Amino acid sequence: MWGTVGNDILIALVLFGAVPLVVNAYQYLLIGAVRWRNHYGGVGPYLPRVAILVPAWNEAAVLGATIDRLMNLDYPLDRLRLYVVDDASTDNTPTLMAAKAAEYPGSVYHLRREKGGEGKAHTLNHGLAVILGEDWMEALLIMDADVIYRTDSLRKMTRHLADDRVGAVTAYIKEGSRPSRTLTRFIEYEYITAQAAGRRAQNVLGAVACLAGGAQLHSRANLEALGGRIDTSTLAEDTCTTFNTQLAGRRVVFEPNAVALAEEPERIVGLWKQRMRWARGNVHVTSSYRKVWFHPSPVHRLGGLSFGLIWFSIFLLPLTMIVSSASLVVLFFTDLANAQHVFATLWIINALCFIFTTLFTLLIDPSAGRRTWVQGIFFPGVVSLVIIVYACFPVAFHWVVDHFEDVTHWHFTTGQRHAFMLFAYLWVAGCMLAGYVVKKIDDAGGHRTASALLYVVGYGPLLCAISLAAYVKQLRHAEMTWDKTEKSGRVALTE
Amino acid sequence: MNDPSPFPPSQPSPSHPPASEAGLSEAGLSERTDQDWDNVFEDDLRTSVANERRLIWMELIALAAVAAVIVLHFVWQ
Repeated sequence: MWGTVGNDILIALVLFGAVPLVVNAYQYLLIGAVRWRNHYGGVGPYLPRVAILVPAWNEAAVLGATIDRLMNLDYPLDRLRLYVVDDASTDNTPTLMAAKAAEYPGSVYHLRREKGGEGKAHTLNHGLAVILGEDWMEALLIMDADVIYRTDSLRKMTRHLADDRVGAVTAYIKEGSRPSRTLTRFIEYEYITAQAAGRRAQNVLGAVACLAGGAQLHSRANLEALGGRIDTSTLAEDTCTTFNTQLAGRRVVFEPNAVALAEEPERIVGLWKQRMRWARGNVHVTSSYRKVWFHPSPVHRLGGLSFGLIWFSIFLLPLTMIVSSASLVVLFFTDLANAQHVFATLWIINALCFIFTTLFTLLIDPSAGRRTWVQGIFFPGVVSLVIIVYACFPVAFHWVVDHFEDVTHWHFTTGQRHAFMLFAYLWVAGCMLAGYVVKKIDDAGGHRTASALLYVVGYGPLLCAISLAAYVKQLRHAEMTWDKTEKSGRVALTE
Repeated sequence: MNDPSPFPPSQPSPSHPPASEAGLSEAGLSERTDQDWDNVFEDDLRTSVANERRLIWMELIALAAVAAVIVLHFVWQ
């Protein structure tokens, strides 16, 4: 009796591993509905007085170009003011800012903090106190020093604020480093999935998970309703601001046609630091807003079933991979035939979701898709791709293996075949360990080796490894530090 | 709704030299009237709505690819 029930439970736990990809595919299915569910019916030709707030710590390498580009936005100059909050920079930021303030009198302001290093939220609050202390500002754009806006992006964002039910608008942040590297191309592809696709789906649901830190436009009313301050107790201040806006009954809108380019890490070590901060912030958000999840409200859509499923399918992804893998291994030793069937089923589901989301991703943003289609295909890694081929086309796979045996006169024994099988079962979770090894190789200076291994292990497993490491750090109550991502000015507007 | 008209009627507003995506005349780039900005808005809106409308077709193409893989899976069994 227990044997049958136990096996059924194990099979269910294995298939639990497919839930995140199925939910992701569901999210993609929602995207088509933007044709009917969007905010373009509520926009108007609204060009408010916008204060642009740029937190900066040792950003002299990128600030000059950023300011010049902002001052050349296709937006009325008398309705733009730029405030750079210099967080006690030790480079030549003060000199640069003095020159820019003179070049754009009345438009560019330098706010200096003598005590810095407390984090982005503190820096933003310094600027917010000054800007909200005056009546001039009608809308506030918070951005990062390295972000470059297309000239038409700001006006495409402000048009949504014509509807006073909208509290904040975010833009489509794209990775813009040129020349691009292996890692930046993976990030560029990831940003199509997370923003151009994911946030469009969130627009359909009426609940947005996060205003991009490099592009968040707030109405004055929204900022004042939030208390005029950014939460300093979290590493995910952007997400907290987004949630608080919606909990107060204001809408947050993602504007996919307003594009901004940002510089992202070109080394895995840098990516690890950045995403560790994000993942730990998400743990904080998940815990802080525990009363919001799956509790529908007439005021906001954050408590909806779909939004909760999407949030937790990403949040719990490392856990589902471990549970699925462990269940497969137990089945391998207790019921080999069922293990093979459920393994194939798991990967067929994963494969179909992967094909759908990858192809749709490449079509959503064709110009970025043309640059990153290789990274899209290799997102799960070569090992997982081989497993996908095995699961979807077993006859063809065995045909290849048989021919390999004929040509090489090497014949796999049953033991060797079982060893391969066990490796594949372990890979479901072991890929995260492999991702950690890739990071350690990059850390040790093996940048080229790590980049090559990224294609084998997969960028997705690397992200899952970072999330898992972040959860372990949270459980250990490790100190939260603000590890700023260093920028060098590699972004170029090429489209 | 907030006031949708950013400028008093017919009053020019200062702007900047970058080429407009909205197809305005060169003279309109440096001294746009509120009518010019309205035209820019309408043009932006038309483009944005068209971009969002085409996504349903992209979705159908991706779903067709999935259907093709399912067929191949059963053909090669």
